[in-house]
Amino acid sequence: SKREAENPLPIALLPVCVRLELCEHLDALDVWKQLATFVKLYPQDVNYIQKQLQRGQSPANEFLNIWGGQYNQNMHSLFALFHNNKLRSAMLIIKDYVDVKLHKYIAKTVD
Amino acid sequence: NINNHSKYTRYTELRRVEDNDIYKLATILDRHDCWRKLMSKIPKQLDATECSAPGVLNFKEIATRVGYKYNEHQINLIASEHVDRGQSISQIMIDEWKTSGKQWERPTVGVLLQLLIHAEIYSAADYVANNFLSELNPERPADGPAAFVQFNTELSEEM
Repeated sequence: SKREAENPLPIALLPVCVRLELCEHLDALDVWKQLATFVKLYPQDVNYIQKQLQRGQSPANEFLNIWGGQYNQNMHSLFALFHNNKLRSAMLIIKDYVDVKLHKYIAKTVD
Repeated sequence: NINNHSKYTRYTELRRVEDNDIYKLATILDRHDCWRKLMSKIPKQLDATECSAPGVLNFKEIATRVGYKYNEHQINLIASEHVDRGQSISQIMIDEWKTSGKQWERPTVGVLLQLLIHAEIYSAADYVANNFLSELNPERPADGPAAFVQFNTELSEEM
């Protein structure tokens, strides 16, 4: 819808079930460090995620907590992040939470 | 003027902000120790009225000449405060800050917002801009973790 295009959903408001599916997928691919590097997360934040990983927490979920939390990033940004890192399946998982106009980028992404 | 209906202005002192609004801000700052990031950026001296307008705080001067109000020891003291369930560590930090210093140093909403942007705590900065000031979200930097990601179209054209 038009409203969504102008005002994308914050990552923090993504429904929990979708978020769980997404994190399971990203953790299986072990791409959290690649994503953290791409968005230029600061070393202290990267270390924090590393520590949570050692405690058995999902690193992808911690990444979303920080990048979506403190930085208040939205689903549009996350969709672009997946596109730029060629994470096509991750884009498919969240496609219903971004503007339909952005779906063309899925077809143009190869995993 | 879009600020006509805002609840506070940039010159409103934090101690005049309603408890419930501070509480909501505090819950945002509690996540990932964001309060610690904010507290470490608070400048030593501050003419609060003069520093409340947008973009007035000179962070280069603060870093090189003015210095910071709280050192690591004082921040750790707050961190070690015993908080009961449902209590917020950020609330304790804000309570300390908002009543500290001389009358003219009392922090304002405008000072808070500039510090939040400088510390890149956009969750809280967006909240203060929208809910305290009825302003749009503050502008994002072009680079770094707070920047919005743009689609790399070269990647698409490879197809």
